[in-house]
Amino acid sequence: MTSASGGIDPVTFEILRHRLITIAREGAIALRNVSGSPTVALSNDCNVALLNDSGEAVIVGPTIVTHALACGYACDYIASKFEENPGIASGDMFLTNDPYVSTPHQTCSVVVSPVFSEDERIGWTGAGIHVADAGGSTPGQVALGAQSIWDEGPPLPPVKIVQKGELRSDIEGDWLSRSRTPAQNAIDLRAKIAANTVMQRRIEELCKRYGAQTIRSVFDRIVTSVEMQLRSILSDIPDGVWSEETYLDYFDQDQTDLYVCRLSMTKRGGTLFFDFSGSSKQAPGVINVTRPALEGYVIRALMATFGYAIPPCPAGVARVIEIDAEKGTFVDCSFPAGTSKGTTSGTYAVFHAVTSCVSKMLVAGGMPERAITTWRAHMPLLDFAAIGVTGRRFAGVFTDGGLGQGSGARGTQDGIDTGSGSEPEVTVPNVETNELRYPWLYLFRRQAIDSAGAGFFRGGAGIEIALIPHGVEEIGSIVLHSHGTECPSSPPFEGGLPGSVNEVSFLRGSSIMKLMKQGVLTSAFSELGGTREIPKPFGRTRLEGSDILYCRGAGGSGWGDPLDRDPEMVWGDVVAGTLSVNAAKALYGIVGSTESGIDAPATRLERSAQLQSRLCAPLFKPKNVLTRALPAICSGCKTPLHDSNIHVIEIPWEQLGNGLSSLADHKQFHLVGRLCGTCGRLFDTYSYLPTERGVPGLTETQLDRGFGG
Amino acid sequence: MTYTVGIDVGGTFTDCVVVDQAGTAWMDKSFTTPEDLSEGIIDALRNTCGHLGIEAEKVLQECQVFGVGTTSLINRVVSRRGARVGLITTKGHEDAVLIGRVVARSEGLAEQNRFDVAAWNKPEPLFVPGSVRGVTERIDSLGTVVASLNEAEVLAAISDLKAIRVDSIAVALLWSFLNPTHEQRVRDLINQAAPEIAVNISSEISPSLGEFERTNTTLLNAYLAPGAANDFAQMERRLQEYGLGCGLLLMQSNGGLAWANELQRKPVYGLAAGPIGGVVGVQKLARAASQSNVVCTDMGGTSFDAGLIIDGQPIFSSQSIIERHRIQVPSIEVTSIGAGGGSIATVDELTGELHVGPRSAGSTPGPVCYGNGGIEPTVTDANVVLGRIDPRSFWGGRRELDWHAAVESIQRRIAEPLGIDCQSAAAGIIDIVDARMADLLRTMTIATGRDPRDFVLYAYGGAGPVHVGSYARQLGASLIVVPLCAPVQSAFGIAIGNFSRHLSQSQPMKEPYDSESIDNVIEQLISQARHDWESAGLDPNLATYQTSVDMRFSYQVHEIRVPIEAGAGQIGIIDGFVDKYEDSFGSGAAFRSAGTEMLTFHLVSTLPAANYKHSIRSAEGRPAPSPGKLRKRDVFFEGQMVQTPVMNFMDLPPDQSIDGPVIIESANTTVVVHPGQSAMTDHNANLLVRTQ
Repeated sequence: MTSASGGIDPVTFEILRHRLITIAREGAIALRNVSGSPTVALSNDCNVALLNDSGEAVIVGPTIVTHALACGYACDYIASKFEENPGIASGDMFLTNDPYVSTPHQTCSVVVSPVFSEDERIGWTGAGIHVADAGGSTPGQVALGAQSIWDEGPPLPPVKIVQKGELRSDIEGDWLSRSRTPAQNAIDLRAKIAANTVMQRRIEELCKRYGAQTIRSVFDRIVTSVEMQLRSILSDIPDGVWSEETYLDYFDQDQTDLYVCRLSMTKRGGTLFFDFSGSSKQAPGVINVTRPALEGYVIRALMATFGYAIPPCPAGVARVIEIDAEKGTFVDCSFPAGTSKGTTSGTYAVFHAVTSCVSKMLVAGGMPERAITTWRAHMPLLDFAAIGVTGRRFAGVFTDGGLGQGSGARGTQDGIDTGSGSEPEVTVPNVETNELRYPWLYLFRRQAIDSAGAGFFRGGAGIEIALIPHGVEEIGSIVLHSHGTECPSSPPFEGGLPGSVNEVSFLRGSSIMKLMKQGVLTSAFSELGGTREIPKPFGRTRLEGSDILYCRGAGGSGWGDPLDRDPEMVWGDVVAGTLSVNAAKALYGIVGSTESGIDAPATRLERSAQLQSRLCAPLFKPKNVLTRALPAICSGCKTPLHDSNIHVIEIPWEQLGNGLSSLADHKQFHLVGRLCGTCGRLFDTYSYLPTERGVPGLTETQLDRGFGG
Repeated sequence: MTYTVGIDVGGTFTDCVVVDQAGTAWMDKSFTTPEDLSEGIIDALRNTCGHLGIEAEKVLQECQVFGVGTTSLINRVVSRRGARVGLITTKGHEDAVLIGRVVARSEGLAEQNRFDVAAWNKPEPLFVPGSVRGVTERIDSLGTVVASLNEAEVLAAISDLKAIRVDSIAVALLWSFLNPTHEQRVRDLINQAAPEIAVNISSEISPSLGEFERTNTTLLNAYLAPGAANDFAQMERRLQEYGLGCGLLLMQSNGGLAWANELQRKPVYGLAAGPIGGVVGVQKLARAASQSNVVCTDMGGTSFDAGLIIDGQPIFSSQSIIERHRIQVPSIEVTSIGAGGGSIATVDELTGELHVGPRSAGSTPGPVCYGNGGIEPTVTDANVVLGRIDPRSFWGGRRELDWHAAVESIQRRIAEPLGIDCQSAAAGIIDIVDARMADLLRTMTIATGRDPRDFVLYAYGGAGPVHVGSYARQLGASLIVVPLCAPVQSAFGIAIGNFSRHLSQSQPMKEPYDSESIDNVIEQLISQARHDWESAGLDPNLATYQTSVDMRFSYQVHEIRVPIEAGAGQIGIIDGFVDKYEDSFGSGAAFRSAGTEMLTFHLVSTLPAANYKHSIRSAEGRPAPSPGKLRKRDVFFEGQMVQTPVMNFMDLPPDQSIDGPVIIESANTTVVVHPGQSAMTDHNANLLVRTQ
């Protein structure tokens, strides 16, 4: 049997395709079993890959795809430089955590290994893990205040860690000596080696049974098949150009700078061209995206969107894209720009921009059910360490706020409340699990009211958490490294509103302990005394006995004019507790009370008044407005739209309630609304950054060039 | 004569096994009657009793055990026919179920929907919208009361919930499994203020760490309990009308039997009953044959279900997902993939790739050869084309299959697009589905740290014995067992089941341990089990009691269940843990210097339900095979049609090995023995196939 597409018969292909997926699963099992660390086993921050001889990741494991992509970049480097010296032989494995070669940041490390059939190298295997600490000035991943990569954990370019099956203790010694957690890193290194060994043996068995050429052909055909499928989907969509602008707020050297990721995506036939030119110049440290990470996050965003139709094969996706970016910008940085927070910083700005452009393309192609405003916004994150009364040490990363965000609204339905992200296995531990493991007590962990971005389809509600130290005198070290506190990080669509921003704050010296002893539990900070402190989003602090830590993870952004949302759906959110009666009126024009439900006549009047008030609002003149896309007709009154019958207004942050009103104090951004001059319906909203506010490295011309649409 | 009866009520068929006190087994099946399951049960029993030559009513009167495994509970969850439930929880944590640890958005989805990210959503919660009330109270991780229970708030919550007409209230407070006093007080207050409302408290339903799963389990129990009580009472009453002389027993997810009136209080413990019975039956047979590591495989119409027995014990999981709701009850772990007789084969128009499943034609319309309107070729159609399934003897000849339709459909939809002949296309479909099953089994076995070649492979269900010869060879298993009751293996497991109780209690502790605390938890669990047996009218002195504890290294997350041997002491328990850890994760993997932690203690107590012989024999005698009976038909092996002997299961000469290729048929199943394999029956009339 030979198929039309040549080479290998379809039955053998299908059997071997599935067997290779199974081999990747076996590798993932070995990785997780041997490591056993909470990062690996609870957060699934690890992955494996099977790669072809060119170092393209053909099959990836079930978790975070960027580890697998990093393996590919490592293989590229090794194949191009090490053939003669130190040589690439059967039984060798190579280790790296160098962001300029492979991984998105230094705390991600990969081990890759060539696979031989007799003397022929037919491919590679790889495994990556996010380790607890890879050195540098600050414990954990982020090097606070780093002014270059020299201030961060020192990257290790690819080195031969295993030679002819023997772990090299000199290299291992070098690797472990860089870290504050050498014992855990040693186990994680063995886990990566074990995963490679398992996968290698199994592929070698397949080569013996089916022949090396057959396995090569299967690798090739998996990639071409995914490429064909993706090109076919793209070919059915009209060609076009879509653009977006996303922001990264970064506090460094006593000020917050805003970094702009500017993307123009062109779809022509079955190919996508990504042009990031005009993005902000690179930062000195911490947040930058190296070229491998840029490519990795573009591919990751596409795999999330098209995962419904194509199997997880990054190499196939890579073949349908071309990426252009300016060297020296924060989305394609030059050495020695620092990268220590690489997986949750600039990469997310890239991820948001790509998701947004692709979703706009899918809407244009008549596939709104596949489109989403964003999977997950920037994350509020903190690392902590404490010593218990018995001398027991605690350390970890607090991810509840980041992972518990709401996802963005989708083209045909709401976003998911406290359900962000595109990786199926990502989860947060139970409150009880965390209280058993860590020295704190949660006062609450709940869906944050009024946090969802309003819209015809609303975003998902975010999460909010408050906790106090418990069983320790204090939590002695809290390293804050959050983005998305100064501006909403996921763009709303078609007149929807942004979701809430992230927040990390403290109530110092509260009376909570006293009140609990009296049998009072309250979440109203106004009743708890003490002093409210909003710390800078990057920095180090501590949590003393009566201090409360508050964290809110953003809500998802909305899609479509909120005044068009079905009143029953709005009221459903009120009943479910994610929307207040006040916000139902302010954001959606729905008038009602908890006792008697919706007041239909008053709602009609309110909605009409709000449309009218938009039409009467003073016109706003941002510089970039002309470059944004304009729909042909108004979705409400069906009037044709053109520049002369639309209004551009500013929507005051203060009106948007809990989670966004704080932005009114910062005055960095304006929220701009474009609406139909006939009926007042919003068809476009976006954050606008006036030129007088500084963006490092962005010129006046670049800022004037316009903001997506 | 006394009998034990096992019934497995499935979506399409109701299976029945009757075993007499001499250990002789009869079996048959009938169509399930969804409106009143007892009708289908009686039909299946009548069909079976036809083979015994006595009246079904007589078996009912004289039976010692009448056990039923049913999907009726799961059907209630699927069709959302449950009670109106409200929830009282700790203030500040009202959204634990809605947050669902974030992962609720993607858990429990079918394989094909797992990466359809834009379509993810969380499951609808089991409580009435707007019926969650948080009350002031707080207990910490040591079980200490940090904030006392505010009873006025509890009364206000009860009053609210009464106003929205809930039938049932679930109470799930943080850390209640360590210190249940607040939950118990809330229950008492509900009983006083609203005696008409049923109450379920989490410290009784699921006393284990993890508020999301514990709350969900309690909610699901509250949701199911009223309907389950009706269903079970109705079934018992109807069977009594037919003359049932003993109490009705039901299969639980843990593989043991429980009286219907017990399970109706904790229906959440009976949700996974269906495929569990098969594993229980295999466990019994494997023990009799001194086989300690076994893979149990059940291939039916829509799915391939696999379970493992390690060192003679089924693998248990403490959590499972029911209709996308994660719950925390002990159940025998069964992993499913969408590979069954009804799995549909397609050729991708764009890439020319051949895919099999996970879409299934199910039982309606079913495979093309059923003639019920199915047009897409399935695995069963491929088996018919290849001569592995005889269209005339399917289901004992009660249903003739349409060979021509199967050929036509594979020819047109698979062979022509691929440019190959029909037989090659059918063989390709079978090879792909067999390889997928082998891949699953391999992953499952290596996840336990064991070599798949060291397992004995049992195959049952309608299609398992047709395919096992191939997936066993790929796995490297050297011995296959097709049990006597293969077509009705779950019913068999139920018929020979024991009473069983699994009790758990989370009690987190860190090394160095306080031996007295360990002893106290164990004593408390044993005393609870003895009390349960007495309440069920059974003698606790006849039961066995096995305790174990989930342990892990500090800073790590793998929990391993370690048996606690009497008198082992904490050193013995820790050593047992380290040994088992290295057994699973490799020598040297143990992170001993980190210290260990104990989390949840478990007690498994079993009590025999009936006296039966270990050697189960077939109902029919074993007449000497007559050479004249030997039939032959063309069957596809190794690339060509081969004239292959066809033998009746009952005609196999005892203790004599028959070399493949050979087809061995019984009323409800077909065993395909490949070239290079050989078959013989053991003294209990199970078929053994050696692969090398």
